Amino acid sequence: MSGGEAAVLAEGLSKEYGGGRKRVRALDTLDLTVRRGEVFGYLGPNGAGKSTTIRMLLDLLRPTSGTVRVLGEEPRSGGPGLRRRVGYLAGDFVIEPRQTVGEALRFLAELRGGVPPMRIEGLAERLDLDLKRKVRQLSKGNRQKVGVVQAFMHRPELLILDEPTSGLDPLLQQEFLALVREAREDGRTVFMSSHIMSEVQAVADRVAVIREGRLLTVDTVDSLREHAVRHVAVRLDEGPEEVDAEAFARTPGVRDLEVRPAADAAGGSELRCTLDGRADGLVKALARYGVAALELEEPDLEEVFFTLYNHNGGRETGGVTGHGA
Amino acid sequence: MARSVLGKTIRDGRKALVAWTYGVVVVSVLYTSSYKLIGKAKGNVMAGAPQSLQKALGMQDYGSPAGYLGSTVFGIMLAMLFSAYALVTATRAVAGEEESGLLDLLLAQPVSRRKLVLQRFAAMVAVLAGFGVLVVAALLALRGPVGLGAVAASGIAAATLQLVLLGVCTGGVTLLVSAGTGKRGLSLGIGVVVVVFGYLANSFLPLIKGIGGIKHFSPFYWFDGNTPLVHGISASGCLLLAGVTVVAVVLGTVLFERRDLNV
Ligand SMILES: Nc1ncnc2c1ncn2[C@@H]1O[C@H](COP(=O)(O)OP(=O)(O)OP(=O)(O)O)[C@@H](O)[C@H]1O
Ligand SMILES: [Mg+2]
Repeated sequence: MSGGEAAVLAEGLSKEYGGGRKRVRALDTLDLTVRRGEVFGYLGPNGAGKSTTIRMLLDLLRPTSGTVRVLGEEPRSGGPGLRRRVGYLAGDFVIEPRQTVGEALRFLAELRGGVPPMRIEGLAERLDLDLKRKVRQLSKGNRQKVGVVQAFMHRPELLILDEPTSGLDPLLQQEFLALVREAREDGRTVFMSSHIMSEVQAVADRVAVIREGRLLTVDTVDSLREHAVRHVAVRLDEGPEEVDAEAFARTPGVRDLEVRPAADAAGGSELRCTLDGRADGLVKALARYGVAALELEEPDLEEVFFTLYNHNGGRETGGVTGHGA
Repeated sequence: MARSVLGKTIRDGRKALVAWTYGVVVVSVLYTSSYKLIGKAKGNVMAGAPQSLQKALGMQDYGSPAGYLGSTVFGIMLAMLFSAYALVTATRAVAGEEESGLLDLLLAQPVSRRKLVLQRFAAMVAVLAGFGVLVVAALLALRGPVGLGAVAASGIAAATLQLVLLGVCTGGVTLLVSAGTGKRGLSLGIGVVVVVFGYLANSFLPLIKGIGGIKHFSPFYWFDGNTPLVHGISASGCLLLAGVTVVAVVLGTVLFERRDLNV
């Protein structure tokens, strides 16, 4: 192990697909550092360039320009020796269907120079994966589990996971996140892509957000959460006429405020707004009233991007509309 | 690690391999054992046909033992079987698996691209050689009983060697496209064109006035142009088949190492 180096380092990394007129710039001068030992979330909507980046880390694709280092080595010259230290789960994990799960995993383990059978069995058990089934017969989620096992089984220094939880049910997502946490406790590095904010928030130390091949931000999860927009719905005991809507509207971070009679005619009111940043002001303003119920909707990615664009000086807002202050 | 990719390549294709083997054995055995039944009769029928047509069909000498074997077992059937096996295998080896997404997983393991191509090529060569052994064994066992004893064992071995090399050459050229481009359809298509052109250039095309020399560019001519059953190994034929193969495989490997892997 060459300890001091970053787990992943990209400088001015660009990738274009195709040539001539059909040229597509999938990744545009990306600068990124993933430190050793951290769980790093790589977030972006469909087509943002996540898989493109990841496939360059595995030397499946070659950069058009810029440099990339994985565990201190260039993916191409690092070759098999470098890939031995990495675990990879592809965005669309495909595996030869005419074999059992056990056979498939043993073959991959053999390529990696051997993995104790106990390790494979242990992982399979945790993920509730039957090693005797034929791959062909597996449901999508179960096939994804095979992908998770093969990425983790050899305890690699660096895990590169492209949308690892796609197809997994909530229980298994939790189990997967537990695997990621354990990997971090062992001092391993995890680089995982996703378009689900909450999943990344649950495990990642830092998050990069990309869109249309460009890096929007790299930030800690906490600070990203602070910037995120949430939808708030509060059920108050008081009727609409008793609620001081103006006071709420003046509260920092509160936008799109709406107060109306509660739907069930029990005399209360319903307050809806979006909250940008800290919740403190809103909670204190609410304290004056009787709060019957409070719902906080986690921000979806589009909204995170929207706020990011605003914080970055309001560049183009993509397809996001209706968020005027 | 190295051995496991090779072994797996052969194991994965074992069901199809049984079918191919069956085909090779059946063609060898049926043709050889029918010598008494149809050899002489067909020889007579063909005797009436124009010399050039007989030659195009490889049947100018149907009545003699070597002529019979040359136009049946070592005629179009086995040449096509060997070529078809090579073509299909070489296409699947890289482009087929790449398009189905399987290569992504394999190449993310500690496996080098060069080793992957070369081992898959080696597996194909091994299978073609195995086919060749079966052909030789069938002919050596049957030639006495069916009255083809006049054909020398060395002739059979030479013809089979060149047959195997024909398959290897077809596979090598197909692998160039398969590994070089990763496009399955293109690889199959070019492989078929090579086989069909090779066959025509050694049979019908030379009948056209002025382009008789075209046969010198045909792998089929390199394979049987010297009538190996009678004259033994053709050094130039074998060198051409092997040389084209080596150039194609090396080039295919280099291109594969340089390009992006598609999904
Ligand atoms: N082989 C290819 N040829 C041409 N364009 C491609 C190719 N692969 C990807 N692209 C384009 O590059 C861009 C980035 O794609 P990429 O697969 O990296 O996105 P992603 O962030 O992984 O998306 P998703 O969340 O849908 O998996 C997209 O616009 C996509 O259409
Ligand atoms: Mg993707």
